[in-house]
Amino acid sequence: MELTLNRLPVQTWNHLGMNESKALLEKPRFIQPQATLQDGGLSWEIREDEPEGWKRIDTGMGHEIGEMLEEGPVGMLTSPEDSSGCALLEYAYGKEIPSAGRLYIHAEKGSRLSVICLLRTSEAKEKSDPSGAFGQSAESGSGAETEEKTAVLETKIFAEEGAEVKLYMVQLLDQGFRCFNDLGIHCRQGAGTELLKLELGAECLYTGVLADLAGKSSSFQAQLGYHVAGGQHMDMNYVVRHQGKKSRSAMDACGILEEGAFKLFRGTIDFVRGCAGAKGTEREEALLLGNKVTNQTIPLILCGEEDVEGDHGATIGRLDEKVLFYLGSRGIDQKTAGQMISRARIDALSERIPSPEVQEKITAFREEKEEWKREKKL
Amino acid sequence: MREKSHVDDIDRSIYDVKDQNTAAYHVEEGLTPGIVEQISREKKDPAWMEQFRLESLQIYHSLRVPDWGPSIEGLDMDHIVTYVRPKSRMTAKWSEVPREIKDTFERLGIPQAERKSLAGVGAQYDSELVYHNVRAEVAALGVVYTDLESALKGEYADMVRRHFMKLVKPSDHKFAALHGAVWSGGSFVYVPPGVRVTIPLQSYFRLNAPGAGQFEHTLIIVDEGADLHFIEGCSAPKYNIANLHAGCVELFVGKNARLRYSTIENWSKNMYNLNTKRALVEEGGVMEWVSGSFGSHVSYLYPMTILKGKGSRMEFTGITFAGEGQNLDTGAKVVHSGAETSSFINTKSISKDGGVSTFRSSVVIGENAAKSKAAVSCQSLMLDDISRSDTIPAMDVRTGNADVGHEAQIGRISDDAVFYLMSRGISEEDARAMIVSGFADNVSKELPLEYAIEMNNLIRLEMKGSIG
Repeated sequence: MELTLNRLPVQTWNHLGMNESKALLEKPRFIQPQATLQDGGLSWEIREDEPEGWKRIDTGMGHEIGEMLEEGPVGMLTSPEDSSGCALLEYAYGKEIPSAGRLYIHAEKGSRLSVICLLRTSEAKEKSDPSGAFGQSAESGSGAETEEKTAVLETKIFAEEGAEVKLYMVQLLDQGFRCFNDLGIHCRQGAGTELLKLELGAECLYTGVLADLAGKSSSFQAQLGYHVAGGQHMDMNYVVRHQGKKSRSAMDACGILEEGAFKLFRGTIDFVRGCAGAKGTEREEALLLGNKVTNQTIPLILCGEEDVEGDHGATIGRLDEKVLFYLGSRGIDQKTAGQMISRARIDALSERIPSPEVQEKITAFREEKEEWKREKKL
Repeated sequence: MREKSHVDDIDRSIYDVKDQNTAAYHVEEGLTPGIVEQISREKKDPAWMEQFRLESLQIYHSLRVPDWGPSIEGLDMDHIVTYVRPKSRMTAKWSEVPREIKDTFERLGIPQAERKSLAGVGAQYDSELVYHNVRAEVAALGVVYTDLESALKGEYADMVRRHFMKLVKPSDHKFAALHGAVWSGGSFVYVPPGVRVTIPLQSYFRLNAPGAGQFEHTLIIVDEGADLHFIEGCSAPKYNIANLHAGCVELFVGKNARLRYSTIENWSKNMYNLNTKRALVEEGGVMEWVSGSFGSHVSYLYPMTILKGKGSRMEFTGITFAGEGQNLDTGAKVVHSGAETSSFINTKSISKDGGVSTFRSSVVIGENAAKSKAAVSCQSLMLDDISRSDTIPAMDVRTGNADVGHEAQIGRISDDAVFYLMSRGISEEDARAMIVSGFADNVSKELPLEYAIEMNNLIRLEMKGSIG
């Protein structure tokens, strides 16, 4: 069925094609991750039914995809009150059947929780397919609208009073995959969520994040890194809803677009009336390498409250000529300079993920992607 | 506990004087092929124009109202009178303008401005121009400044036909189609190659009739290497029923030419201002917009520039002040289609007393616009917590060989700044007005002195009574 996804909270001119996106998605089978829990009394359970009250947590991609997934089992990760723990969750997606995971993270009062969430192609499928992890040919520029090679993940975070959640989400799916990655966050008083997201794979990616800062002094920080090239299509919707007084948010998106890539970033800071003392910032930096790229950006500030501070900024463009001159004077050509800088940008985020194993996987994936680009002469 | 500001509504007494509604002629309310034909007959249109009007009407009926902006549910086209002819013929002498109409324009300061600082003036009252004049020395340079109806039938008829609604096509949106069907009045300006008009031309639009629409069309062609500053002003008295303004401005800026288009819009707060403005800029040409939006109940206003020629550039400077009962959706659009083009959009908006101000923009950089640069900056000020201010800027870059920057801030008047000024003996009310005037300074300094003073007065009046 056709779903409407990533709808802007406030609409603009339809001809720009940024208000929302449409995508075909058939009902998927449900999968569970390989979960590794480290201390802190964390609990992990598979719930066949939707836990009560979680439906009220909105997500960035909108309600239609949530309704499609609502009958599926949920993997529930809970950190007990005042505990601290870490979990690694690996979602491996097969290539034949659309697969979906549902992950609910419940951080009880005062708890500290770090979650590393990895989305990758199933190794079993790779073995049966000798053409390599990033070696699948793209069927079309914007992703074939079929039900095959489809990965879906719905994540919800409920951070109770004073809880702190750090979510590191890394997407390393093969070219040829469509990925739907949806996230909703609800923070109560004094609770905070930090999100670090690396989007490096998939041919066609839809991703949405909605952080609801409901409680006083709640906070949300997001750092997003992406690298798209050669027909990859990336469609994002990030929304922070400030409801609580003195709530804080900071969104930082940093990415690289290479030849043939398409990227649409929607970012919204919504100051709801009553959120006095709230502050929100948003930054985007997009580096364009290659002539035929499409970079769409629409950063919104919606303001129904007087006593707030909000700002956003975006810088979209080529490599700085001074940087190019400097590197050129040291014998580094423009293409190599672009590769160096894009690698440095992703490394800066990758290094912050507290798992050497995941960092290695990122490095290996990027090497495969570089190889694939060489083969494609990109 | 901090007391909230109380801000008085604007003193609009100058603008709100209503003349007796004694039009010489008007069509019935509503919009039908019969009414459009009636307007066409009344205006003695050439045959192609009558056909154009009827086709536009068909397009109007086929298009939907925008689903993304402020509500225009209060606008019922079945109750809008689309053509009202005042009891006056167009003249080049103020003494020949009927006293009542002349008094209105004198209150608005138009004849005085003409004497002091303008190269030419056009004054439209309801659907028709009542006065049009250009200084002899400017006319001697070959500058044409006349009403559009005369241009349509005279020496420049072919030029008008080649350009009329070619930039803003009736199929663009519903209200462009409406304009195509019922347009009346407006100005035609042609500046020949190399001619620099050193003092501005001005058209002033006054809508007096209640429940009426004004649909003037402004067509300006600035030929190669020429230079012009054009000023547009508009106002209307307030009625309890909706009035509509759906004008259209088409600007053609030739190679290495420059055009500055300044607007102080102060329509009454029962007005639906659904105006369309667009400029096409050739190689090396420069388009500058200066825009102040103070009036209207609902506004949709986004002057658009198409940077077609290599090295052409555009600058937009705007301010919007939304008070009680106002929902002003304003901004700018730019399309870079030529190489090495550049644009800068710089806007300020202020919301108070429940007013809603939305900044909306789009910057599109096409595949062939290599080495182009664009920058957008918008700042919004909230004066209370019952108002609303949104910013919706869109950027669409289709080449890797371009640079685009964007920044936006939203906030309120800093308590520290008010305290500082008060500690120097300035009253709180004056301190706040001073800060808001300073906030709007980038717009006022782009206007001729007389207009900058008028704009600052408007801001001061809006801020009067602000305490807390």
